[in-house]
Parts: sequence; C-alpha cells; structure tokens
Amino acid sequence: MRLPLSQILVVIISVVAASAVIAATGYNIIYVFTELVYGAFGTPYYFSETIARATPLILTGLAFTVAIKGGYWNIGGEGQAWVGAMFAVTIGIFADLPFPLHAIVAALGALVGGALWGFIPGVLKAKLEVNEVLTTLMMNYVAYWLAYYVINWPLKDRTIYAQQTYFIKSSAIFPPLAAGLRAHSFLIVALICAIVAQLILSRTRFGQEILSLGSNLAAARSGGVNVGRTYTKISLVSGALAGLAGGSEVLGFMHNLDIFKLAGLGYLGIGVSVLGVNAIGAIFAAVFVGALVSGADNLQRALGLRVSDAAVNVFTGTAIMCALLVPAMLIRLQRVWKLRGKKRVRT
Amino acid sequence: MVVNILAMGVPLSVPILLASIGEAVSERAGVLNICIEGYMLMGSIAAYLVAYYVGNIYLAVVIAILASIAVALLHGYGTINLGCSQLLSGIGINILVAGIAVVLYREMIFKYATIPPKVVMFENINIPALSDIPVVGPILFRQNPLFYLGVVLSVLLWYFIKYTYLGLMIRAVGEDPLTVDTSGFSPVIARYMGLIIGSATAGLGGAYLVLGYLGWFAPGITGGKGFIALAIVIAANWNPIVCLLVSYLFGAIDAIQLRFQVGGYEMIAPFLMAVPYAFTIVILVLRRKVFVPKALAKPYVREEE
Amino acid sequence: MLGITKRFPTVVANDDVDFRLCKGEIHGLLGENGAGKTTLMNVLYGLLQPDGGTIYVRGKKARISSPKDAIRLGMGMVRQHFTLIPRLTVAENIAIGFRNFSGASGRRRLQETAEKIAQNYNLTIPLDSMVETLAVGEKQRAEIVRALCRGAEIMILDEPTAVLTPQEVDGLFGALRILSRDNKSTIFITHKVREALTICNRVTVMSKGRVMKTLPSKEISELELSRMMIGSAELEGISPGEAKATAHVEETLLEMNNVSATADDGRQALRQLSLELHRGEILGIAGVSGNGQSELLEVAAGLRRPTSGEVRVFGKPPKKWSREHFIRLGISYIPEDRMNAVLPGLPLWRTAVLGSQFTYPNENRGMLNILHIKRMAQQMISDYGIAARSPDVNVQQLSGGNLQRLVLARELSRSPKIILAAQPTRGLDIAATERVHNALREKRLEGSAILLVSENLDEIFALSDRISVIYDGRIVGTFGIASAKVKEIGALMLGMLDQNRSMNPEQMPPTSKE
Repeated sequence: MRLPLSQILVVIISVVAASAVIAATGYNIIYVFTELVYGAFGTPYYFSETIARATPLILTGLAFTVAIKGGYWNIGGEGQAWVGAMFAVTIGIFADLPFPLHAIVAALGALVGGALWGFIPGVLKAKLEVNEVLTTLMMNYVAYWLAYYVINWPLKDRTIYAQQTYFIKSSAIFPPLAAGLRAHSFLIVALICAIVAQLILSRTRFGQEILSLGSNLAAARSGGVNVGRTYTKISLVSGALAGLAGGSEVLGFMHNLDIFKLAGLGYLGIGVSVLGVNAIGAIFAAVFVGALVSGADNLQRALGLRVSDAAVNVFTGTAIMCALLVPAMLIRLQRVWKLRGKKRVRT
Repeated sequence: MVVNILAMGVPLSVPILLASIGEAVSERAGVLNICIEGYMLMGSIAAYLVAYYVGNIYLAVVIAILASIAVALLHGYGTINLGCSQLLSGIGINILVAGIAVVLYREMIFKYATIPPKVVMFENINIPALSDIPVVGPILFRQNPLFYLGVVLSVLLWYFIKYTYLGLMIRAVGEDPLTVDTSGFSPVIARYMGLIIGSATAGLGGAYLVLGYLGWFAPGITGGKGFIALAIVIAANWNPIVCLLVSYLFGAIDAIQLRFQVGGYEMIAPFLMAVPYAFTIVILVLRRKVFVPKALAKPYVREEE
Repeated sequence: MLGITKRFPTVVANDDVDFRLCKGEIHGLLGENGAGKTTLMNVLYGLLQPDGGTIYVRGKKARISSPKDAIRLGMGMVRQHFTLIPRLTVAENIAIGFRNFSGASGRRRLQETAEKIAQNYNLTIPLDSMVETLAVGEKQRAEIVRALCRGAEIMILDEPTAVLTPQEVDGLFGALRILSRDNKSTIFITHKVREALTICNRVTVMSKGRVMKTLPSKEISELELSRMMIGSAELEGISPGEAKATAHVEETLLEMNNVSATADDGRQALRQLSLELHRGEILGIAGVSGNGQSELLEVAAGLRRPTSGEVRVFGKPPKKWSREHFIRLGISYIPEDRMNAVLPGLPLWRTAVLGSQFTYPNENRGMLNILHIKRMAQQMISDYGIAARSPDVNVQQLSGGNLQRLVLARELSRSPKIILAAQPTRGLDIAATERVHNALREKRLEGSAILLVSENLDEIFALSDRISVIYDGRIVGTFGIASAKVKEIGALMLGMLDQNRSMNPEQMPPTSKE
C-alpha cells in the first residue's frame, strides 16, 4: 500500500469534491479553489495563519493516532483539550514566574490536565473493561461544562461583555515565530511531540507494546504485554497530547480562553489522524486542515461568503469521508475484479 | 413553580426523545450512529428551508426526515456495505453536515435577511378535559403534537422490536449477524432498517427544533443533543420506552438549569448540565457487561471462500 | 456420500470417503481428531466444498454450497459451539429463519409447533427463557428442537456428549431413540467408543482421512473399535524414539498439584490435575482435543490462573501470575492457534521480538535495539526456513506454515528452560515437521523440559520420553516411553480406562466377545 500516494489522492479528490459543494451554491469552482489556496499559502501572513491553525491539530491528531495504534479509541480529545486549556490559563493568569519558566510551567499544566482527563476512561477500560468510546465521549461534555463554569465565573474577565477569561500574563505567552505573524512557538512543541511520538511508537518497548496491542490482543498477551497497564499508559499519553493542544491555543494563539475557540479541535484531530495515518503524517494532515481554515477565511473575504467556519467543516468532513471510503471502495473493486474470472467455475 | 419547571421539561426533552428512540433501534441492529448530531442538523435545516420557501409544515417534516435518511445512507454505505469504521464515518459525517447545514443556511436565508425569519410552527395542543387536571394537566396534556407523536412512536418502536418478525431480525443482527445470514435473512437489510429508523426519528427531532421549539434555524441549534441521545440510549438499556423516561429526566434537568439562569443562581447551571453525562458514565461502569448489543459497531463481512 | 475427497494445503482431510446413512438409523461416526469426521460433516452441511465426490440425498444428486442448502434438504447440525443467540429467547431463536410467522397468530403457531416437537421427542426446553440463562444441556436440546422445527430429517450431532452430565446423556439418548423410531436419522460424531456402541445402530470408523470400516455396532467390541481408530496396525511399526535411560529422575522443573481451572466459557476445564515435568525430558500429553489441553498449557504459561491447586516452577510457586513473569522464568509457549501469536499488519521482526521486548539486549532502558532485533529475526528466518525476504516483511504475507515456523523460532530462540508446545507441527509438511522435531530434541539435549500437546499420536510417540494421557481435565495415565502401549493409551484417550481409578469388572474389556 503506497501510503503517501493514496493519501494525496484522497486529499485531491476531497478538495475537488468540497469545492464543488461550495461552488454549487453559485460560484465558479475554479475561482473557489484558487481563492482557497491563496488564502492558505498566498502571503506570509496567510501561511502563518495556516500554521497557527494547524498547530493544535497536530497535537489532537497525535493524540488519536497514538491511541488508535494501540486499539484504544480515544474520542475524548476535545474534552482533554478543554481541561488542558483550563490548567494552562489558570497558571497563566495567576502564577508569578519569569518568562520562559512561566510559559513552560503553564504548558506542563496543560499536559497534566489532559493526561488526568484521559486517564479516567483509560483506567476504567483497563480495570473494568468499560468501553472507552462512550466514556471518552461523555467526558467531553463534562469537560465542556466545567470549562463553561470556569470561563464564566472564577476566571471571567469582568471588564468585557463576552464569555472569556482574563488574559494570561505576558510571561506565560509563547511568542510568535516572527513579529506580526500568527504562527507561534508552540509549533515547536507540537513538532517535537510528533517526532517523539513517532520515535516512541517505532523504537521503544512501550511502542512495541502499543503496536502489538493494536494488532492482536491475544498475541500481545501471550507475548508478555500487560494489557491493562498498557491501556492506562496509552490513555495518559493520548490525553496529555490533547491537553497540550488546549495549551497551545491558550498560550500561543488566543492568550486567554473563551467558550468558542476550542470547539471542534478534538474531532478535527480525529480527522487529521485518519488523513495522516501515522505520527509524522499527522503534521501534514494538520497543515492541510489548517490550510482549509485559513483558506476559508479568505473565501469569506473574497466572495463575501459568510461561510468560513462552515466551509472548513465541509472540506474537512469531505476529506475524512474520502479517506475512509476511497480505500474501501478500491479494495472492493479489486475483489470484484478478481472474482469476475472465478464466476465461471461454479456452474 | 415546580410545575412550571416540570412542564418545561417536556418540550426540552422532545428532540432527544425522538432521536434516542430511533437510535435505540439502530443500535440494537448493531449500527452506532455517532452522527445523530448530523442527522438532526440536516433535519433542522431541511425543515427550515422547506417551511420558509414552501410554507407547508407537513411537507417540511417529511423532507426533513428524508434528508436525514439521505445522510444516513452515506454512513450506511460506508459502514454496512464497505465495512468502514462506524466511529470514524460518524465523526466525518458530523463534521461534514455541520458545514453543509450552515452553508445552506447562509446561502439561502442569511443572505437575504440577517435575522432569521420565523416560520410556521406546530402549536401546542390542549387536550380538552385532561389538561385541566391540577398538577399533571399542564405538564402532560398541553404539549406540542410532536411530543405526543414521540410518545406514540416510543411505544410503537418498542412493540416493533419486541414482537414483530422484522424487529426480531433487527435484534438478531445486532447480536450475531452470522446466524442471521445463515438463516436466509440479509443482515445488510436488517442493519439498514435499523439505520433508517434511527435517522428518520433523528431527522424528526431536528425538524422539531425548528418547527416546534425555536421557530427558526441557527447554526448550532442541535447543540450536542445528538450526543445526549447516545447517552440516553445507554442509560435506557436500549429500550425505547425507557428512553422516553430518561429523556424526560434530561429535559427536566435542562429546565431546572434554565430556571437557575434567570434566578441569579446561574453558576449552578453548568454543573447541572454536566450531570446527565456523568450519570451515563456511572451507568456504563455499573452495567459494563450487560446488554450492549454484541455486534454493535462491528462491521460484518461475509466470508467468501 | 460417495468418494468424498477434501484437500487442504498440507493434508488430505478426506480421502475418497464413502458414507451411507439409512433412514431412521443412528449412525456413529468415530475417529480421533484429524481423522476427518468433522471435515466430512462440514462438507455434508455445506460449510466446505469437496474437491471430489458426490452427495446424494434421498437418491437424488445434491449440490450443497452452503448451510442454507443443507437446511433446505432437511439437515440440521448441532455442534459444540452453540449458535443460539444468547440474548434472545429460545422461541425467538427458533423463529429466525421462518418467514411465515408474522404477528401474534404466527408467533402462536410457531410456539405450538415448537412445543409439540419438544414434547414428542422428550426434549424439554423453556421456550420463553433467554438462551443465556439456560444450562448447557438445555441449550443443546434447544438447538435440536430448532433444527427439527426447520424440518430436519437428518440430524448431525458433533460430539454432543462432551458437555453433558451422565443424566443429560441418558436424556439425549432417549430423545435420539424416539427420533429414530419416527424415521428421522442421526449422524453421531464422537470419539467416545462406549457411547457410540450404546446408542448407535451402525458405526463408521475413520482414521487419517479414510474410512476404515462401516459395520453394525453389534458386530464389534470396544477394544477392536479403538484399535481401528488409532490405526495401530500402522503404529506398530513406529519406534518409540530415543528413550532416555535415566536411572534417576531429574530435577522437577514444573509441577502441578491438583490444579483446577475454568475455561473461558465457564466450563470446568481442569479437574484437580497433577503432573510433573523434569529437566531434559519431553512429556507428551496425548488426548483428544477439548479435554483441557489448552487450559493446561495456559496455566503453565501464566496466562490463566487456576482456581485451586498449586503450581510450582523450579520448586517454588511463581511470584506473579503474569505472562511476563513466566517468560522471565524461562517458560516459552507455542499456542495451538498460531493466529494468537503473531501480529498482523506489522513487520515480521515485531512478531519475532514479541516476548523478548523487555530483555537485554533487545531492550535497553526502554529503547529497542532494532538493529539487533532485526539481526535476530534474520537469524530465525534462516535457521527455521521461513519464507520471507527480510525481517521487514509484513507478517500478513506469510503462509500458515511459515507463521508456524516463525512462532516456533521465536519461542525456541529464547533459550527457554521449559517449552510448552501445542500442535507444533500442525500444517507443516514432512520436511518441516522433521526440522521441528529435531529442534525440540536439540533443546531437550540442552536440558530444557518440553510439555508437548499433540493430537497426533505418531508425533507423541516419536518425541516423548514419557507420555501422559489427558481426559476430561485430568491426567488419567502416565507411561515411560518404553512401557507405553498404543492400545492402552488409545483407550485412555477415549475415556475407557483410568489408571488412577480401580477398574471395576464392568469396565474391563471382555476377553472374548465374538
């Protein structure tokens, strides 16, 4: 299976398909397409927007990828990001530390928060065999409402009439990569995480345990892997990564926390993971989705199309569906093709 | 005041009621629809557009249901026919429909009127004698017709899966598709039946949000109700009639939370809202081995020699 | 069934088999595992397609391409793994597959039919209970009733008494007799000789894919029957392998005392089983599969915790009951189902290192030494003749035989002190089998102890220093290779004698019968 080739194919098909959807509402499809690409990569500013949007997605994508390689369906990335964000913004607002230290501690807080939130469904699965799909899903909502409370009461910025927290101290901010650009230095954290994740999966004992669990649970067990403990560890790591995504948005992008900005990061992360297949691929897939976000913003500007966030969803959703359906259909076609010859034998 | 809250709980429960009873059937057949949110959203926007442009409320409902089913067929084709992961497909569809619905809304309505115009709605009906009973009257007998439809449907669906042949096939395919296949009934058809029922009621629920509750469409109108339906199905042990009760419970909590928002106790609201989900987790822990349909979310691929 | 032949990649399961079933008879199909009886019935029931031969049902040629066809032709099959859906009631299970039942009246009609059938044949079942609440015997009866409701005239029962209590066996036999009187026929697959002779009118004995003989049960004795099944005529020529002339017993590496354990489905798999494994010996466990062998090995491997009894490894009870700990103690495990031991979708070396991913030098402070692992895997590839181009090959591309070699290679290269091997040469050709046997003998020379479970008596006799027979979760006899007699072992395997119990006169094989 030539991996990158088929994924690129998927990307192209999905972008074309989605453009068609948008264009169906009355615009020239080529125009839509070019404005999209321009908005993503056209100017340094736009490109930095793409990167900035991609950064948290790299992390949530990694979170799902690492988990799914071990057969652990962590769809709680959303909630873990929220908790991570809450930890990060709290430390950012209240702690009194000098520049790099403050930011780093806040980022660690995000990591811990996410890990804690991911740990609960993990241990439930390890000890009690509770299905993690449903528990992580429910945890998303609990986290959301927790965040709602935190944003609107303890940490609420009373000076503004909006549902957002105070801004974090400047000593906690992860600075932009270059003045005036949207991309910020949390990107470095994300990239490091991707590389570390890939290394862990491919070269460590833990990675071997994860992969064997995801491949064949019975074989892993008879190969000495402690199934329960490994699931727990997976849930911790996956949660930590998603938590960092929340931290990224708070410490690098928004510098505070509001009730809207984090929405969809977890689920889009799953999409990123599906598109990217492995840890390093997640980077590219995240850039792709980030490009969609940035490009869609531009579509709004250029065409008066008030659909920026919706367009992103259309594109991403199409991409995910294509990533799922196209390979499956190809396999099915292959099988049908093979059987055409065999049909004669059975008379 | 208590009566008011309890009465308010009903309209809040209708969308999740409708969505959950169908999903209970669908999951019994082994089809997990993470994308209920998408079905509902599609139903909402379809109902709104039809109600706005055509004006016929019944047509709006029908189109809403058909629209949801159309989305579901995409999910179904990928998961039932091709064997893709029901989870990933569901998530993809949620994202996709979230986008499409808003695009449709913005293109077809918002361009022309920044404040969404109100459309025809289902008015609450007053059941004559019964609605005058002191406490119970206003709660149960002065509600939206779609609520009564939901109640009726929940009983009908319960009867359907328990006592009819097709219902038996649906239950069987969710436990052991292989046996169903061997006995001559197509497991694919059985699963599609569950899927269509699940999406139809979800679409109806989405239509209700526009035609029976709000009166217009707004992005995010479904606000996670699809996911709540998933929780309800688990809590209700996949029984449509119990879904009725559980969804009312969730609706009542929602009503209480709303009341708090006005009364100065808004702080409690988010915690109240989180309760149903935490509650579901507790149920999952306690009930971990009991009654999850065995073949839920597992693709069935026929072995060809 | 005439001339039925069925070939699998490495073995001919059915070799020109002729089998005739008369109306109203109970026909026993006897043989050990691997004899081909289950394969033959799978062909009859449409689960497998024969490579040669024809099937005639009621005189007409029949094409049975799937169980649906078989059911339509009036056949019903009840095997050891029940196919009833646990979460539905018995009545509902029976209803699946009946189109003409709709609505309340249809349901009632079905209910009446089922009740009548159950009554007629003395097969009492609670129609409205959920299958999962039923006892094993009731489940079996329910399966039979379901088949009868579908109009089965030919019942195929695969090892039906394996899970029944003696009283239930009597009940079953009563029902079968009534069926027979009603002109319905039964094919009774079993390896238990005495039962076959009790209930069957005629018996067909199969061995190694061929029919040995078909004859009325009156005309043969238990002993002759078991001799035929084991094909001792062929075995007489086999030399028992290099028996070790040990004057004293070597150190006991593994010991099980009165170990009891339950299987995954709740059955009692091991009943106070005791055995000892000594350094430098191969202990062969002979027995028909399903008598507790898998659970025995799982307990010894650390994968299954016994419910009672004591296990000692190197004289001491194990500190932790985990597979990892047992691996560290030096216990290797080659499971029966090789699919339970490999990692599909991943490169070969990941399967090769499974079980040693925490030992130096494969692992060092959490990191894997991939270069070393790949070299090790390459070594396995060449030593064991695995057909793979490199250690990076995806395991999915290997054939079954190669997977078996891989698993063997992996487990044996860990220099284990105790090797637990279940069907190690299943699916391998002669040359490969020889290689495996030599590898095991080599390990024995190095001082390892090997617990060998095999359905193949030839293999057991060729390799073992001592032979124990397992039956119904117990070790019913142990012999040194020099004194082991095939007939005796065969009889023990079939549950006839028991070294540990005193044999009462009824159980003694009669000296003259014909």
